[in-house]
Amino acid sequence: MSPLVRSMRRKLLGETRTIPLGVAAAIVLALLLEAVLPRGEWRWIGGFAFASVLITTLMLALYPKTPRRHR
Amino acid sequence: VNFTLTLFASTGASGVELLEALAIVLGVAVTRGFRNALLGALAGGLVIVALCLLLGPALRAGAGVGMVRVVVGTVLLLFGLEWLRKGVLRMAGRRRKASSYHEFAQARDTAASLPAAAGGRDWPARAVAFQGVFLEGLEVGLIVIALGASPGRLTPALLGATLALLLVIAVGVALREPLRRLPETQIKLAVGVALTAFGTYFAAEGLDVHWPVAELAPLYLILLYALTASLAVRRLERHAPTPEHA
Repeated sequence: MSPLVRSMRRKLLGETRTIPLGVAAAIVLALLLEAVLPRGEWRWIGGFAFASVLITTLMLALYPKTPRRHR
Repeated sequence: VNFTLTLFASTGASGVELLEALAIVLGVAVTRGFRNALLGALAGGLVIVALCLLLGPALRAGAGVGMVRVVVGTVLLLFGLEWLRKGVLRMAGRRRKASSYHEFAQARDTAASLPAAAGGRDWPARAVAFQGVFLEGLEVGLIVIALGASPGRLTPALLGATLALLLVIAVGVALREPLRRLPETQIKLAVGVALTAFGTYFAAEGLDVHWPVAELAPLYLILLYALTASLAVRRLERHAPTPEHA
């Protein structure tokens, strides 16, 4: 892969796979919930459910290999 | 409120990326001459403008409103969450602070190590300047297209990018050591918060979500992500750094 293409991929998708995968997962999950939940419920809680998955994605991207604390 | 927030997000995102592009062009210019650096930068800028002129209308014409919002939201989320991640790591001391001066020094060293120019045309130097402007400009272009894709937001998005361009040119021309003075880490973190909030807002609307008090939704999403980032910084500060984050 040429350096330019590699740099473009890093610019567009970032340095970790967690974020693109997490965003994709959030959209797929949202589509599933939209199909399953009654329309009114999805409209009201959908945004916050979507944001929750994105915050979880951010946390996973921030702490990929945080060592466990031993007591 | 939305006009101001879009303007802020566009100016901030464009400003920091253009500043990095300026640093690279200056790095090439001081070692290989201004003419070659400017020619490479100009070519990179023209390619980005052409891409935006192709992509922007195609995005609006090629899909339904809901799909456009999901695509726009996804683009903003990819950039926003990555900036947010890097910003949190930088604020927690887990990553080197954002610095266009570092980009400048790196470009200067790269340009100095390039093979000598054959004749008057310094193609290697032009290529470095082109690549710098193209890569940073690509991010600016996509963010501005995404922010401006909704009705009523194109004006603040374009205005923000223009304002950022003028500011960066002014910084490049007027100040002696501009790249060291700007709090880039904080600016990037704030822009990351704003882009993530807008990305969440647009993508969710595309998925048929109705935000409570929709006019204020970008604002409370900004507060939500700012709070999340602040808590994440505190949590990371409490733990010893790991080599992966150094």
